[in-house]
Parts: sequence; structure tokens; C-alpha cells
Amino acid sequence: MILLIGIPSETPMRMVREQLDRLGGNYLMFNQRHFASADLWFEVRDGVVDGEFRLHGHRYPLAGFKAVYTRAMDDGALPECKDLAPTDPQRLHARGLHDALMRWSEVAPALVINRCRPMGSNSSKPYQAQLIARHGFLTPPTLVSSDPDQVRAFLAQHGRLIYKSASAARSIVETLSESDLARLDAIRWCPTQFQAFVEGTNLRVHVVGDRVYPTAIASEAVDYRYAARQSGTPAELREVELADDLAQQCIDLARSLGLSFAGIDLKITPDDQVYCFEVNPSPAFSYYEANTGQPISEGLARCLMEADGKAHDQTDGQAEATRDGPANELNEPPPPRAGATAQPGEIKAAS
Amino acid sequence: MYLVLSDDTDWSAQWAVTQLAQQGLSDVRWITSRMLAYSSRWSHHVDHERCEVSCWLPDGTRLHSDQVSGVLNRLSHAPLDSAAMAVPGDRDYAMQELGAFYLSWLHGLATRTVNRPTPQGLCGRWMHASEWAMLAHASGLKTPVYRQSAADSPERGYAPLAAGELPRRQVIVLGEQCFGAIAPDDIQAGCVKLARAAEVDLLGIDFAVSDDGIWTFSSATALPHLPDGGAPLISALADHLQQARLS
Repeated sequence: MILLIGIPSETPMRMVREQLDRLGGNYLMFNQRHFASADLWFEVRDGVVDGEFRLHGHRYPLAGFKAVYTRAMDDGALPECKDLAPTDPQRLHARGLHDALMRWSEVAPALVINRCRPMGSNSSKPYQAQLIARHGFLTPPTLVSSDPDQVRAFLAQHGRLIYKSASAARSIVETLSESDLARLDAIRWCPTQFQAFVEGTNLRVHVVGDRVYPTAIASEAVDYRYAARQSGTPAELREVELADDLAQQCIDLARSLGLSFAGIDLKITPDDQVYCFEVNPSPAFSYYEANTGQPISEGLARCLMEADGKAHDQTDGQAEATRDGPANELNEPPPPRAGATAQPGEIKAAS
Repeated sequence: MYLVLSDDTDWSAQWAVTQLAQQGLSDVRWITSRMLAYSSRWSHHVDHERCEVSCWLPDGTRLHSDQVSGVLNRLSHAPLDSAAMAVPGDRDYAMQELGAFYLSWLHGLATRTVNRPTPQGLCGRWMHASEWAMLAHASGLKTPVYRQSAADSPERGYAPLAAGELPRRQVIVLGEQCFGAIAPDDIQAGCVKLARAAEVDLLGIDFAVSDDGIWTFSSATALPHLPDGGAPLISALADHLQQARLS
């Protein structure tokens, strides 16, 4: 059985659930808001993890969950919890339940998308960049500094800089402007991350196991997620294909970080160099799927079902979404191939 | 230069500084979290070809990663003094940013760092009792059952696994060697495996030892009490730190 943890109506979770329904996946949805009707215990005995999850009066042996997809929100922020005192029994139950669930998922002999530990590399982007560089990707020249003079020298060296959070805290990427330079003294209190601006095409590559879903993003904005705000025009997303070696490089990178599902942010420069900016361990893929039709949620559902041993029960004969491209069920021509191996960065839009 | 990084009241670190200097390591410096908190002009460069860090310590000396040959890292947390001075709306963000910054520069500071920082702990992973139970068993150590339910406080997961009044012994692993308590060979082999599985160079492993000589895993820490390892540990640590310079 597959265990889904989160809020059923949250878009990525809803999309995965719909795919599991379509493909005949056997799953249990744990709606976090129903924590009062849930209970869990687990144990580690001689290297074997066992236990039981109870939900709405039903009992589920934990050993029966072969795959887990979690998009759990902070239980303290649940509407049923957020106004309760920290010592309120209901609040304590929510905390104890979620902690036990998370701790079990860290050691469970199951596919967990994703465990907390490997997600940690994204808590520090410059740290993660050091890991990324080991996989043959270029990473942009980065300076984290509390010294305004160093930042000015870095700007003089690179001509154009952007700045953004170094941690996992969501921030809007901005170009370092004249007005920013005027307030640069503020960084003396907290080292701040600056990066050389890299020209090129943004590419988001979702990796699900050994499947890749590359999306090219055309935008004038520095941060395409906020394109309408920054440039007045929404970003345009299109499905593309990658050269085999670049696709494999992305798969290897996600795997080395221990991530079964990842959103890798790349930029392909005009001279076909590939820069990697970040590996997101909990990507909200729905934005990309909604704009391109790429079957990312289907890939996730299939990955979970494969771990559950039921991947092909009801799907024989259907085309699978693999790293070679999306399902071709509608007899549309496949997207054109990416550039040759010698030009790993070359991408072309799907027609 | 060799650095011993630690929290301000880490007397094990202070002891190690003195002992390492006596072992002949040149220029061993004790850098505390307070000194780091009040250092200025931080500059941390990262790209695919280099990773370096520099800052000015409170005493006016400049510290640069190029000067650092090896590090004993016992820094448990990033010092958040400056973040605490941020306005309430910015405080959490500033703390996350400082944490991210420390993880990155510590990771890139020196080729030989004992222990390397991780996202789960600046001087090595802080692991939950359930994870230690898995790893200790896989390493061949006798391990108590760990059990947790929704009714338990999350803090329970950081308590020793072996309860009771049995005497405690701590084995300290450095690389492939064991120090501290004199343990049977199979226990020592298990300790080395456990440290490797936990991806740390230096690990203190606590056991409960029964009257009939059964050693049961209880807990482990990346911050062992170094004086328990005595001169043999310091000698090995000095060798360990110098290997990077020789290689």
C-alpha cells in the first residue's frame, strides 16, 4: 500500500492522488487535519521496523506501506492546532503523532518521497552547490559576505549580480541595483548571498527515480516565478528534451543526494554550458505540469506504484513516461531530441 | 594552522588545543562560537572550482581558509547573536540564513575536518534514537528495542536507549581506532563500523555494561569527552589532522 501524507486538496497532492486513482494504485490518504482520528506506534527491534497506524478506526500495519509520498505541512500551523496552547492535549497529540510518523518514515524499509535527511542539503544553497559541483555541473560564482567592499569588488568582477536567500527560506531573486548598493551596509549584520548573473535559458528538470521531465522557461524576469511582477509578462514554459548524458547527469545528481524526486534548476548558456543553481527536494511540480502537460504526477504515481509492486497491474499497454519523453498516447509526434552528446546543453522546444 | 572550533564552554576543546600543541602541531588555535559571532567582514566564495572563506576575528587577525591545514570541529550550533538583534519580523529569516552560511563555509573550510558539518548538525549528524538503533544493530552491536508512539514526547527520541542503573562506558572512535573505555574486540569493530555508518570521523559511543560483561549500545555523540581518550587519542588526532597536509 502507498501512504500519502498531507492535505488532499493541495494541488501537487491532489494531482498524484488523481493519477493513483486513474492507474489503480492502492493508497491511503492521511489528511493531516484528521490527526485527532489517527494514532501510530512503531518500534525498531534487531534492525526490523514494525508498528501500526490507525486512522478513522481502521488499523494498518506499517510494514504494509511500501511507498510514502509526503507533503506534510507543519502540524503547528494546521487550522485545528494553530490557536491551541502548546500544552493543550490535542496540540500535544498532533505533535507526537507527526513526530512519530516522520521518525518512522526516516527508517522505514519503504520508498519515501522524500525523507527528511536528504532534503537537508537544500537548507543551505552554497553548501548544496559544493555537492552539485562534484557531479560535473558548473555552479555560478557565489559570494556570501558581510563585507560591502567585497560585494562591490565582486560586482566589478562580474558586471551584474543577483541576490537571494542562502537558506531554504523562500525569497525573490533580484538584481543588485544602485538602490541596493546604497543600503549595502545592512549586510554587516548577516552575511548575504550574491551571485554572478548567468545569461541563458532557465531549465527546470524534475527527476522522478530514473525519469526526467525537462521544462524550459522563457522569461525576461530574473526570477521567472515572479515574472509577471518583475517584467510585466508571465513566463512561458515549454516541454523540451535533454541530451542523454545531461539527463543521466540529473538522475545521478538527484540519486547522490538521496532524492527520489527532485526539481533541478539549470541554466543553459548561449555557448551551451550547463549551470546548476539548486536541487529542490520538495518541488511544487504542479506549476510546470499545468503549463506544459508534462506527466510529472503520473511519473510520481508510477514510481510509488512500482515500489508498491503494483505498477503494471492495470496499465499494461499504456505508454510510460520515461526520460525519453512523455507518454505518446495521443499519437502526437514525439518532441524533438536534444542536441548531440557533444552539446549536452542544447535544448529544443517540443512542438 | 590548525583550528579547534567549539562552543564557548567546551572544555574538551580547550584541552585538545593544549594537548595538540604539546604533540608538536604548529599554530593550533581555539576559535569559539563567541569569537565567530563577533568576527567581521566575512567573505565566502563558492563556485565549481573553489571554495574559500575569510573573516576578521575580534582580535584583529585575519582568518583565511588557505591558511588552515586541519580542523577539529566541535561547533554544535551556528552562533546566532547578530540574528537575535534583528527586528522580530526578520529574526527567523536571519537565523536560517546564518545557519545556512555556517554549514557552507564550515564544509569548505579544510580538506581534513573532524567532523564535517551536515545539515543535521554542524559537527556531524545529530541522529534520532530510532536511527541509532538501526545503525548500531547493522554494525553488529547489541541494541535495545526503541519504541515510540504518538503519546510520547518528541524529546524521547534523544534519550539514551539503554535505561537502568548499569555502569556506563564510552568508547571514542577516531577513524579506524578506538580509545577511551577498553572494550572487547568485537565491540571495538562494531564501534568503528558505526562511526563509518554515521559518516563521522570522531564519535563517542556509550554502552551499558552488565555484570556478566554484556555491552549494550546506549547512545552516541559527535561531541565525546576527549580527555577520556587521553594521550593516545590526542596522538592519533594529531596524526589524523596532519594527514591532509601530507597528502
